[in-house]
Amino acid sequence: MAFCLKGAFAIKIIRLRSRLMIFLMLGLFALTIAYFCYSVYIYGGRWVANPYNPRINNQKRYVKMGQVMDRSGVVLAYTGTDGKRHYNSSEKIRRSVSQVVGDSDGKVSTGVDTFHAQYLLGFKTSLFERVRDAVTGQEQEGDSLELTISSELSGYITEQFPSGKRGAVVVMNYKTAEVLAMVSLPQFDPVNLEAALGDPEAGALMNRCTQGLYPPGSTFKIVTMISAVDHLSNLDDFAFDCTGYYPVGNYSVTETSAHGIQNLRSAFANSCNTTFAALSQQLGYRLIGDTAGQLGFNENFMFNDMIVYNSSYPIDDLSPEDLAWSSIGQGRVLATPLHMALIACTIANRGVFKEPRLLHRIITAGGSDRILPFVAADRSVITYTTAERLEQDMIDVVRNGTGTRAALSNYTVAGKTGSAEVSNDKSVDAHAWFVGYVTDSAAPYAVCVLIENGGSGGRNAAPLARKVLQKAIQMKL
Amino acid sequence: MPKKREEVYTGRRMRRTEKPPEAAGSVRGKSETAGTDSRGSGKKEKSRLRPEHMTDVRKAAKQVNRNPGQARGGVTAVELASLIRRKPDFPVVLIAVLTAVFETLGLMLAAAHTQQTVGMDSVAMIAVIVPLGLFTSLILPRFLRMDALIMALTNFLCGVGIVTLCTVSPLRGNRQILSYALSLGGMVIACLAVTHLNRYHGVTIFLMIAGIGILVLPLIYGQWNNGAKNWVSMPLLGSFQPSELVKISAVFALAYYFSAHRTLIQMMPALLFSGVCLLILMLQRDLGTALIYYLSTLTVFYVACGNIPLTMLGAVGGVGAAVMGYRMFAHVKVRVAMWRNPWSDPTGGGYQIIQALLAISSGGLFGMGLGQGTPEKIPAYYNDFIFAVICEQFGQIFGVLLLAVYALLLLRTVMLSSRSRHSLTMLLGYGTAAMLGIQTFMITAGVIKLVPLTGVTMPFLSYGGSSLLSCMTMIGIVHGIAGRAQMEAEDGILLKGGIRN
Amino acid sequence: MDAWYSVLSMVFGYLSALMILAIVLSAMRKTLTDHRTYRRVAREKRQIAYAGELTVRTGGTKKLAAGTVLYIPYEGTLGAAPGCDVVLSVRRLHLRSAFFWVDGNRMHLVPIQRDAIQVDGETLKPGDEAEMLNGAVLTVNGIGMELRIYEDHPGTREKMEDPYVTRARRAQVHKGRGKGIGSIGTAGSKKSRRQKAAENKTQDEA
Repeated sequence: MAFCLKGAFAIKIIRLRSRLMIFLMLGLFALTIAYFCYSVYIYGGRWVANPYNPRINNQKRYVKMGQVMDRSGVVLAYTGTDGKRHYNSSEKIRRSVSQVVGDSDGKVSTGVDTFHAQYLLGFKTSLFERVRDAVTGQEQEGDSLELTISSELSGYITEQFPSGKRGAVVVMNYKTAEVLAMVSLPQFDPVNLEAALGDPEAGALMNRCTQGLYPPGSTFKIVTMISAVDHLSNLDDFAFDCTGYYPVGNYSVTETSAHGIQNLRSAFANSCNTTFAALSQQLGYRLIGDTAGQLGFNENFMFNDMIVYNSSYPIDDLSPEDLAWSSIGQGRVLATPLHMALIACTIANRGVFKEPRLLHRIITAGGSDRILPFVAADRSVITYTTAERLEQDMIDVVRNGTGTRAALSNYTVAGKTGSAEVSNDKSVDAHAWFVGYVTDSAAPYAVCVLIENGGSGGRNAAPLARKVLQKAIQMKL
Repeated sequence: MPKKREEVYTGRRMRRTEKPPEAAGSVRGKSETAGTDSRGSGKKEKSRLRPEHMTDVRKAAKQVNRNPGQARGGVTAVELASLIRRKPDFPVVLIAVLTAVFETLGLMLAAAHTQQTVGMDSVAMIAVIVPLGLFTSLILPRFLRMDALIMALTNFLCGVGIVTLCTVSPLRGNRQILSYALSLGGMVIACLAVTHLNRYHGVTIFLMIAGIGILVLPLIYGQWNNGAKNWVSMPLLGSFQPSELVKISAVFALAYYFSAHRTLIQMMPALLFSGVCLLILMLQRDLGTALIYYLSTLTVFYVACGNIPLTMLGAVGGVGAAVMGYRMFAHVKVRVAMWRNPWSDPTGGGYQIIQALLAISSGGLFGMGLGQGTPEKIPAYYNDFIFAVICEQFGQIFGVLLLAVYALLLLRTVMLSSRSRHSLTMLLGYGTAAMLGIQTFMITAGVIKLVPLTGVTMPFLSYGGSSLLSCMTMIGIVHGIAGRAQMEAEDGILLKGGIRN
Repeated sequence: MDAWYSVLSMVFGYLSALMILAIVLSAMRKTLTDHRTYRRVAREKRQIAYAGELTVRTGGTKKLAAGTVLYIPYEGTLGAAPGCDVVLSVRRLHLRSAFFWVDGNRMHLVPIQRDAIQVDGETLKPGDEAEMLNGAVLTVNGIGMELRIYEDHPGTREKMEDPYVTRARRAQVHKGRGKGIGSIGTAGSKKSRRQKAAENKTQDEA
């Protein structure tokens, strides 16, 4: 054991061990370099845009901040000659895009003015542009951003939203994965920021579309349905007798009325809790968890264009009643409205998950376009046939089921309603959800409507969704 | 273990009656056959052979070439001569010239940037640094046996540090230049010492005692700074951190006591010295430096003796001490928590690392430009976090390649010290490489949030006289080892009478 | 002014990235070629890396035939293990049988195991130190080897402190102050290399 310590060292072996030592040290250096490259590549953009970064504010002294426009060119924010940030002249438009555009002081950290400050403040200007600016003596100006949202649609949504209620509406073009509208209520007026700051309880600065985590309620049955279609066999023979309650463990899952015997499609259309509770017992938390994970639950969304909080589906060992409640979107399941809209888009795209885009064009001060940053590649998260089947199920919801109020006259709408219970107190209404899309590829719009404490999804969220989709089709966005 | 008195036995001495055939090509043989006037021409031949004059490859090659039977088996005379040549070759010249260009342009930009505050001082500093750099890289190797490549790389690193400091903090930049000049002197002294010193016992004992003495100073005279009490304010030189200088003592102690056929008991003085240093550093709460000492002791111990069980024992002990330190010291807990999630306390404990990360990412690939950006927002930006500042101003590509420069420096150090004849010089080189490498890794990984932050500086780049002095002295040790190897090679090629095989 | 400065600093940013890339690449190239050169030279011209050689003269086995040359570094171990600096693949030899160091013109050998080691006929017990000059014969377990030290003039530069350290030996050396074994004092260490070379030459000619 103390072999070599008898006092005899071989120089040859010392040299060999020194090689080992230098190999290990170089390995440490390689590890450092690798971690450096990795963390800068993945998180670099976020860190630059972090509100604690003093360079952003510093740069404003030298560079004129660029404009922020919507997809039709309507100016939403610009820097005036006084050096201050000004917003659209119409208060309605200002308020309806307030959280998306944000403010330039970093109070709304996810707003475009802060999150994309690297473009607006000219961090990405090339050497050639700088030389040209220096030569012509022009004031340095940052890039202007043309967003994918439509201020007109956003204003319309704000008008149509039930007054006095809070919530979020997301409209997307599922072919291009562009976000056409992200409206979060309550809203604030960027001209009068102090009023919003003085009322933190309202949470007007928060973008509920991307940062609001709510129990999805029955809209989560889409996920459970996908899981059943993927993992269970003999679904054509599936029949379930809904008696209004389904005992699970020590509790029972209840339904407002007994639906009688149903097959899978009618259970989905009627949003029958007991059927899905029974399905969940058959599937188990692991299979549902797998499907949820594939569809983006528990995933750290590192989208290029916007910050979206992570949705969560609990994957620790659930008791049977937890499992049952989770499968119908209650319990500890949480999702953002944007994520639910993304799920709708995925089904519309036959299983292809695309990263949502907020930036339509980046226009340099000289007028030319800059290349948009790369987004993650599209990936297939559910099979084509499963998505097709889900589409039929969702069409059935709107045609025969709980979502009839979302139907359009000339277009086929596929969707799912949801009423997420949030309290044991019967006087507190459930959150009203509607998630759906227009199946016609000529009008590729997906929508997600969430009305906090809005009551029944089918009764209150679906009509709003219909109006919104109608408007989008009319505007030919 | 043999402890009795040794007997000395002398073998026969063989009388050489005939010269071995290769000796016909030997240098001395040449001088004899050159002419009848052996003494006179011998002197002339000898004067041409003096290695101090072997500055030109061609001259040396000619000398070696005159001996037939040389270039055998694929080794040309040029290659032989390249081992002993003093004149720096093309890569070194390239590096030195690029460093000079970099420093010139950088300091001119620094002067333009800071003109409001300090004036055109930085331009004057160009006249100081650039000649120093060129001199030490290109001219000094002709007179002093050293390794030109390491000198050039070291000059480059110091140059980067100076340019950065002159831009973000001109007063500190000027002081750094002064320290740089002084440290070069220290480096030369160390180089000469290691090249010519043969008996290390006295030197090592002296360094060990002086080291402990200096290390204790802050406990008596020092003040608390940032949770650590590890610096002393000297009347003329300003603040002075003894733990940096004692690294040299540690390197010597480790090399001396771990080398050359020793038992564990005989190695004890070095381990004891290391232990005492660790203890004092713990008292001073300088845990980062303590970790460096500990890890390098462990590394040199393993390299020297290769005893895995004992090394594992040491490692386990270290882990145990780390856990204890975590429990005992509150600020260690804070540091680890901030390493895990700095955003939980963005204005308090996590401020430093967050600002560092923001700075690095703001730099982009090619940097925000010298003088742009706001590096002052990072606490200790001139000191521990100089790497983040460099990434901000010069870009991430520059930062990564800077790490590659450090890695090359270490690689070359280890390669050169592997050529030594004696285990003592080998371990000197390995110990230096371990100290520098571990320190660089610790601070760089801390800045990018790979490991929790420790309070150590970046070698060569950080502001700080004692840090620069100790790093340059350690590089001087490496030069000494390289110089020894060069001297031995000269012996082998020239003085030993040509090449016999 | 600011605009031009930002342009200049951006240009400098690109330039410095280029410069450091050039530096890294040329340093890598030099390290590699230097290493390769050294390896080749050390293999061809053994003087550079080794102190001497042992030639097997008598009692050769299949693996160690007569005439095999073993190269000796300046310090190391001798034994049957492949990790030793001088590997004698002989049966019945301890893995690490002895250690040695070369000091100037003599090789010091200290056995540490009970193997049959003789120097010029005289048996060594573990712990005995033997000084072997050029031409001495070392016999290990029956295999006789002749020592040849490349550097064969006395009083050369190679007077590193002896690696074999015991209290007794150290006391002897320090007491002797020049009369001890292998210390600098014997040759008058203050002589420069030039003088020593001259001495070598005159000695050779004599």
